[in-house]
Amino acid sequence: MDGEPRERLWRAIAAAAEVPGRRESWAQAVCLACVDTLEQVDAAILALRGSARSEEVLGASDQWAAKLAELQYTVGEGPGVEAFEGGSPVLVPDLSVEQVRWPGFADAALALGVAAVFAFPFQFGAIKFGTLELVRRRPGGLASAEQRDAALAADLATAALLRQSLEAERAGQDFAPRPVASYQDVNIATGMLAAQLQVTLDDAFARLRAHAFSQDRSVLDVARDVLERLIALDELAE
Amino acid sequence: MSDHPVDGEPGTAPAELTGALVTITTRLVGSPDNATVLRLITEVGTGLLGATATGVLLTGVRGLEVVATSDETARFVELLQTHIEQGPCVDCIAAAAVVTAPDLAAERDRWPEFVPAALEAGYRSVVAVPLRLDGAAVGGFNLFYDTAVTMPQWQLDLAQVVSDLAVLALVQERGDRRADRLFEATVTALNDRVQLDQAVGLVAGTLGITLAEARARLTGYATEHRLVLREVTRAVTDGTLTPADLAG
Repeated sequence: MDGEPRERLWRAIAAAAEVPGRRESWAQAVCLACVDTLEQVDAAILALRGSARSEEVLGASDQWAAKLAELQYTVGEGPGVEAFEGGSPVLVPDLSVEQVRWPGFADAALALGVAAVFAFPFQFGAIKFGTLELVRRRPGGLASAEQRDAALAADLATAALLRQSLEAERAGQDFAPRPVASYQDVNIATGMLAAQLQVTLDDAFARLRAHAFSQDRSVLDVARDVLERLIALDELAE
Repeated sequence: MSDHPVDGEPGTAPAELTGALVTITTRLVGSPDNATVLRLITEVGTGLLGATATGVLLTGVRGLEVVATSDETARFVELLQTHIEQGPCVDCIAAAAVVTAPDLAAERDRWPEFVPAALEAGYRSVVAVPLRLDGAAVGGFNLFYDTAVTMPQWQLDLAQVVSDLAVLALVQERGDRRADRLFEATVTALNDRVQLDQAVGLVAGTLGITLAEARARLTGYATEHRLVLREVTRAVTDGTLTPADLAG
């Protein structure tokens, strides 16, 4: 049975959203299992995505992965964004040759120590809602068996998320899984900035991003400064 | 050398690379029709769950129908179950619960006609997982093994996960858009959370009040005007309702 070495991965995906006695969430367990069973993978990120500016990171295998997710959210481009928008897996075995494709993301991710990223969309027909991203510290593609299993993991995770959504509906609730990284403060700061600068929400969000990028900070840090009123508004006015 | 996603443009990648990419494209992307979902469930059964063969039965207007099997032998055994209305899948649908037969030979009394035929086909054990819809079973996912097999709980869970997806995809063909609606609900709930936070920031920033006060004004306005919170936050974020209007 060729599925045996991946047992921990399939087991994690098949598990319920909340398992009594288990500390991590379902998504977190899936990310950890990806790293554990896919030999060439150093980190994994599982994110819900609704648009370029609505994203919740449900799982990140470690702090490094969380940082990469935040970087991609800050610059608004990268393999996960592209897999979500395009609806196909985006396989990047060597990030160092992708500066033209992602001028903002590539250099910053390389500086973090990321060398390769493989992103798989969560999609059901025309409805897209997230991605599973697998990250490597060294360049190189995934072995074909690993690629196949990663794509299968994305499909099974899609099925598992549908099931969790169904359970939430039965319980009369909105499907709101617990994120490991929430960009809630960015959304609030976006609204606040739009009000104070008299600009649109899209414009306000773009200014937060641009400021973060120019200062080499994450958009979440900048947003928190806006909320704490640590940044003078005129810094963001242009 | 960089990989690009399959985009249908000929000549953008060498043939062998394109071939490799096509095979890894996730199955649910594109057209999640019955065939796609049934291929996924069959693959999970014979691949991850190590079954010798699999079959999917669905209750239709004329009784049980075979909608997918991994091979011809399994098709014969599944058709037999639908004709004699006897066997693990028939029982699994009636009870809306998993039915396992780790040693088929010991079940002759339970299924006197089914067991000899299944043994003849080379199967030694069977697991039947219900395809559930609104608490009732409308079909079953069968896994046949050529050895005695007792499935661990996680494998039963995995079989149930793909069964839950399969049933929604199968009823979708009959006009029930439930799977679409559930996936859409996931996206809508996420966008609602984002929109609420942006509205809180807009109201707090405009009126110079705290975030907690801004949140309270939004929910208060919704309650007072008997509106869903989503409608209020949408009106605030698209500018049709000004933060000052919320005060009243």
